[in-house]
Amino acid sequence: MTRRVGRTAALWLAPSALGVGLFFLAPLAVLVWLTTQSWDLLAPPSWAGAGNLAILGDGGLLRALLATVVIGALALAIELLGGFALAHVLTSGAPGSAVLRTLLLLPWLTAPLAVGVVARWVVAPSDGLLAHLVGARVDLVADPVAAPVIVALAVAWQGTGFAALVYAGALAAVPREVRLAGSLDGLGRWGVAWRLDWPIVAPTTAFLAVVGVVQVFGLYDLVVPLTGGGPDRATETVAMHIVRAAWERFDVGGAAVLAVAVVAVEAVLVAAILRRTAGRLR
Amino acid sequence: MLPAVAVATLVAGVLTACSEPVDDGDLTLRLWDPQVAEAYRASLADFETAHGIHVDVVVVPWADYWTQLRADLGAGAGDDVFWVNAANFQDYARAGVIAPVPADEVAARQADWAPAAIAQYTLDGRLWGVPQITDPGIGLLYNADLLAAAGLGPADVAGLDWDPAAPDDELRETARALTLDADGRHPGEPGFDPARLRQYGFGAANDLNGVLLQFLAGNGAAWQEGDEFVFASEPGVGALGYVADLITTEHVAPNAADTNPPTGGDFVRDQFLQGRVALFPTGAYNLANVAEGADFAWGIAPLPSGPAGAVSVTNSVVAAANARSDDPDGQRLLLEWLGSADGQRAIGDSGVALPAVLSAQSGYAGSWAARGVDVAPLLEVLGNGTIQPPQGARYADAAAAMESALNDVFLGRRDPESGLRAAQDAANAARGG
Amino acid sequence: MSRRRESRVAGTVVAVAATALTVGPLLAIGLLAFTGPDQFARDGLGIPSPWTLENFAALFADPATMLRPLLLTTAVAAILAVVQTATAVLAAYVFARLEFRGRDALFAVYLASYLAPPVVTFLPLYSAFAAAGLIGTFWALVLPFALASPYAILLLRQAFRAIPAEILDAAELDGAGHATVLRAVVVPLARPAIATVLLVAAVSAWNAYLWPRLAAGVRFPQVQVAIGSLQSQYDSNWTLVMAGTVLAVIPPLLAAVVVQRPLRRALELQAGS
Repeated sequence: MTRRVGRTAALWLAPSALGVGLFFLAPLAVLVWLTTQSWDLLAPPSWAGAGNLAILGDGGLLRALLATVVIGALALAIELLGGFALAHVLTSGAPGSAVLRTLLLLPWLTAPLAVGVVARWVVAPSDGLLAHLVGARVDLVADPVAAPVIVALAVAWQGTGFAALVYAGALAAVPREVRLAGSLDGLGRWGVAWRLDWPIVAPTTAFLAVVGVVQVFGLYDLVVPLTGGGPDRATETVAMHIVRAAWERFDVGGAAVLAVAVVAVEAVLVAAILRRTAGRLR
Repeated sequence: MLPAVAVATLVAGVLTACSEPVDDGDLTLRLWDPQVAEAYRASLADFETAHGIHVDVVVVPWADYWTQLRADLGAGAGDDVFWVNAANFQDYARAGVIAPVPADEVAARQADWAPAAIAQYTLDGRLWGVPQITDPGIGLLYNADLLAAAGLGPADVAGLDWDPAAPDDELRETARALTLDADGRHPGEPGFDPARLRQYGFGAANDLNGVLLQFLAGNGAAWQEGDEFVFASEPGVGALGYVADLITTEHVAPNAADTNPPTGGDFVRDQFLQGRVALFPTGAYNLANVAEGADFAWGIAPLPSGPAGAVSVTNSVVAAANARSDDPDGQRLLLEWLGSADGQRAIGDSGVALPAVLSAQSGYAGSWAARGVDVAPLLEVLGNGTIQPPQGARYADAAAAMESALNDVFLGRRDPESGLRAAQDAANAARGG
Repeated sequence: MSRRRESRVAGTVVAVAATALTVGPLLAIGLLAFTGPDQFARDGLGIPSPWTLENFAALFADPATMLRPLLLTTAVAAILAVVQTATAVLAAYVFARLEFRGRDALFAVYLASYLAPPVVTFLPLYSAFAAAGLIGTFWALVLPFALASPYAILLLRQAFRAIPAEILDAAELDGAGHATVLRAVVVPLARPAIATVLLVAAVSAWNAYLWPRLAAGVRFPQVQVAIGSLQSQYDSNWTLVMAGTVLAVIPPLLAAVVVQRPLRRALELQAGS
């Protein structure tokens, strides 16, 4: 039996393992190699040693990290709280909640690029939806403080439905007795929700937080049509910063250094979230 | 049922993917202008008849053109022949990814090629592309209906005088008369609301080719001297500060948030097409767009004239040879064709651009005259001399480095003196000193 | 009693607001797509009067603008959906049902590939593909993603684990090997999850933007890249841009409506991972 398991396992894992090895692990190794090269995409790569590390000091990475964290935190707050609240509505059995469940899938399936285009139309300064409703210019995307908020709202538009559906599944697993006990104790509906449900669904919250971090560190498609990274790089996410370094400033070695740094930061963040949840559960 | 569906889609997918006709005998030609591409397709039909080689004309939008080109060239996937402009060709030449025009070809043909084009693309004694189009000068497109509504005619907007040192001038006066807010008030009238502009008098913007270069030249300044950026000189600050004032103080132009690079390049043009801009400083590259999209009467007036006169930039575009083409013979034939009167006549006759081959230029003015548009102002302004167009290695890097400081000046967030100096320093630093 | 009615009213308000916010933008772009540009320039967003197809006609005038991207992206999405699902089914069975040394560590590596920002892998992948001369080919679009979709493997592993052990043990007692168990027992029972994975894989390929923009070149344009170019080229022409956006957004939405119940259930089970 064991030998059969071994052979089957190896055979059946082979395609996906090959995929992970060739198109994830190997590229990571190549990435590390690229950090030592100087390459502008025209001439062949040449040795640069530690020269590319200078890119870490030009302030761009820090600014991009700040923008990414601000956008991510805001979006995640809306998604978690909004999704949690919506999940209660979904599980309350109110009429139309089945339709709502289906509708909430739609933003999640919409291409981020398309979401960015639509959001751009909403906030376009002179001919967008808001400008049309207000009757005057709307200077949101040109404002360094408002622009990240707009991006965060667009990201949250995409993610809140997903969070609501995931929370709904988690809430459905909360035993009825727990809720009854809560209302006997005099807690109102929202009291039950906040004091009881929220801690119980902590693993779900952690899961959504990790997904949120992964998403915001990869955020690119949505930002391009919406703000192009502007105004003055205020919404330039880390992903966009790396893409620009490689394919607009043609500094592949520098971009590789940025990429390694970004992965490190994200790993620390994800580990922190997981450790916090594991600690709470104990 | 599921497996059947899966197999069916898989097969369909593979078939679609493999149905891409890859004909190794084809040459490919890449450019960014869809209208010139149309003209090329017409002329290349004759080329195919003559030589039996089919040429695929590929259009990549301007916004993606340089990234895509560099990415494709770096990966060995570029086209056989592609357009390059002056701001970018040096990097490709130095890296050896484009091949210069053979010296004997240059000697044989240069008499028929626009001298400005040859000068712009000669580096280290070699010519790095076959001249394709050369810009007439910049002029002032006007919306005749908006002028008439303000009681003005074409003659009133020809060669408007402007002077940064003067308290007021013809350009500002006229622009104010042509600017209206949502309640029909002009700038300067009580109750005028710049946040609710309905009509813009003059399309001032951070538009290097259409606006900035002409104002610099008109005030006796320059954008670059050789490869070095010099626009933060005293006359330069005066000129560009004047343009910024038109936007932020006079309110005769759209808010720079709408027009600033990198996203705002076509904003004024689109507003002009919607009938909301009275005077639109631009060049021949927008004529076809306007002719197609404008449903009002319009015309071309001569460029406004500053203290140093009315001086325009002129730019050319060349077709460069991919040094790694897998069909060098076909490529050479194509380039010969593209550099000949036969190859360029369709461009001139359709009026989409002024051909760089002198003997093919005759159709250009006539084709516009037939449509009731007099392009003479664009051609004549070149007689006043020209200002050096953008050039140099690593120009794209320099442009990226100066973008934010320059944008801030036009947004009114920074005063011209310090903002332009910061932009100039950043640009020169990015260029490599 | 009134507190319950209060919370019911509050719940309805939230539900209505959520519906409006979710569906509103999608309806709006649908309206714009059928509005003539002149009406839009005059009145902005409104009910199209008359409803017009001229935006779509303009989009399809040159097949390279929208038609080719639509067809090519369908091809890519179909191929990737099928191949990814097939390899995911095999891998998920192993991770869910078979025990061997290092299994959990290997699964962690699979998960790690899901957590890394895509651009971090794209940079070296692009370099490698460029060196191999594969940029601008169909393989560039398909190869990096065909063999492994960690998300699919995650979903299917969960679904396979949910199958009661008794059924599988009974099958094995009857002498069935792993292949038979997979084909005859697991797959039929996990059909909703498999359908979900097919959909998610297809939608992911359909919605891709960054990698196709870098690697597909001009010969194999993908639909989202086409929309991005459309928006930057025709910035103020919103009716045209929205007509294209509608085409880019509709197929995943339609497919989702077809597969909605298993899809929702799969999402709702996420919590347990």
